[in-house]
Amino acid sequence: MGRKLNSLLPIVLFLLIWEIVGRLPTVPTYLFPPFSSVVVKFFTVKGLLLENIFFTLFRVALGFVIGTVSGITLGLLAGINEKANQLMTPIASIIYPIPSIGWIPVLMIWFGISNSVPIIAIFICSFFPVFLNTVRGVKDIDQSIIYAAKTMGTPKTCLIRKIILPLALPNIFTGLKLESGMAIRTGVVAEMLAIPSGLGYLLMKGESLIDTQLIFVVLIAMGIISLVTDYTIRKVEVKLLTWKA
Amino acid sequence: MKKLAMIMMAMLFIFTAGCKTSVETLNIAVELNDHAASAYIAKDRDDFNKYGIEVDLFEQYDTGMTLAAALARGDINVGYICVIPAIISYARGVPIKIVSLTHQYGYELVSKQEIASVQELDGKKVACPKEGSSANFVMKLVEEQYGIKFNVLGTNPLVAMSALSNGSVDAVFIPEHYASILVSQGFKILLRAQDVFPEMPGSCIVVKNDIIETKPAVVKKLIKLNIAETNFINKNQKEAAKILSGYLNTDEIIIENSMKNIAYTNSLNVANIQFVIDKLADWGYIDERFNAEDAIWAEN
Repeated sequence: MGRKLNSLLPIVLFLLIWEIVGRLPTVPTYLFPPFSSVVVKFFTVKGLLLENIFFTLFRVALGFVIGTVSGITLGLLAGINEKANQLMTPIASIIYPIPSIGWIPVLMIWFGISNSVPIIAIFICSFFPVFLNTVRGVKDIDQSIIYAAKTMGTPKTCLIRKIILPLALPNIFTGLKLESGMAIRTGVVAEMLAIPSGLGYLLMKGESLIDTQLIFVVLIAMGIISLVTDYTIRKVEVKLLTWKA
Repeated sequence: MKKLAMIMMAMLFIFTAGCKTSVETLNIAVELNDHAASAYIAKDRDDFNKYGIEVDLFEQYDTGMTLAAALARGDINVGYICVIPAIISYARGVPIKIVSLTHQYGYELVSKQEIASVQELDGKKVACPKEGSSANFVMKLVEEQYGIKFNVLGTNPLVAMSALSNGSVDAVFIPEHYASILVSQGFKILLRAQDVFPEMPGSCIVVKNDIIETKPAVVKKLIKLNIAETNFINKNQKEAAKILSGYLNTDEIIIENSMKNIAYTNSLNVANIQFVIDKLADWGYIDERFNAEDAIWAEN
């Protein structure tokens, strides 16, 4: 109980300072609204907010799942098969450092105004780090374990499912944790530029209507979503890696 | 406790440092289109100086919304801005007043040639500057009056133009002179602002309250200058178009055609401003209604 209170104290202090600064006569509320007015705004826009959270989460989930599944699948292939590794890893290494939001303008030209733009941007954001971390994870496995399994006649699919994938999971989760927050950010930026719905759209609406309260409501919502996503991935990691502990 | 006090002091410094209150000279901002013709003409002919108006800064902004944000931050103290973002700024608490109108209309629905009527665009993809812009205001009026719903891409005029050109959208709601550029590229005007809002107030001059309070004589000169430039524009449209084409980096003929779609006038109709306020409140763009007279400088 005491520890919980201690961790809540900085947040309460932060909100208090926010409230005080927002109420200073020298600080216009249209530039920096007090926290209490942001709370009031939340209740007036909660329907709209929830609707747009759904749009953003749908796009993020779709892009992230497709990117992660294909990243793990192709990463396993490249990790196991040297020819596939030589074919895919150099290309992935070149594309990986390009910020995923950098792809948005060309995606807008290719796909126009559609859900494809944020979903593909999120896919790019998720795929390459997961792919490269999976390859690294497979390469880092102690080869004597794989050799031992092979000499005992373990079938290839069983070898991948029961030995290679579990041993590569710590590396895969490193990639997932890194990119889950980035996927949300990429989705929001794509919505700001190309899509008339989602949290990114709401941020731009707030900007064009000089509605800073709405902007803060959306920013807080984004923070909470990122926290929940990170927490969920950590929980899944703990559950799947119990053998490691 | 000491640390908390230091953090608070630091935050106080940060947030008060951004509040500029200089009232020594006028920092003027205009939109990058021919709605602000009177400001561009005044600058080109050095008329601000001739009228004894000291201008320290003359900046161009892509849209009325970005200009409104500059007013809110205090970067500028005079704006030649569309009426809708001006009203929204006022409603948010930005200390400004409308002192004069610069024109009526000047927003159009431009479509592909094959679109024959507004009704055909029901459910179709349409690009439009975002909520808070005059083009968006016209779009909402069209939806209301025609009983249709567009699939809207909210964006700035330049992206809207390229979206229509590359076929991403079927039509765009766009201010002049961008509408006339699109017409010169083979697109057609399907609807004009006056079709859904006769006498629609287009753009206006807004001045920060501190300037109005400390330099009312300068504001009166600004209004007088605006009237004079409007008369010049109406009497010498070819010459005005030539001047504007340089500032807007657009062909003179296109600007001349564009100016024909705009009624350059200074008469402020309070009832029309009130209509704008009521609609913005109905659509939830501003929190509550207010009297139009409150947003207009009484001595103009």
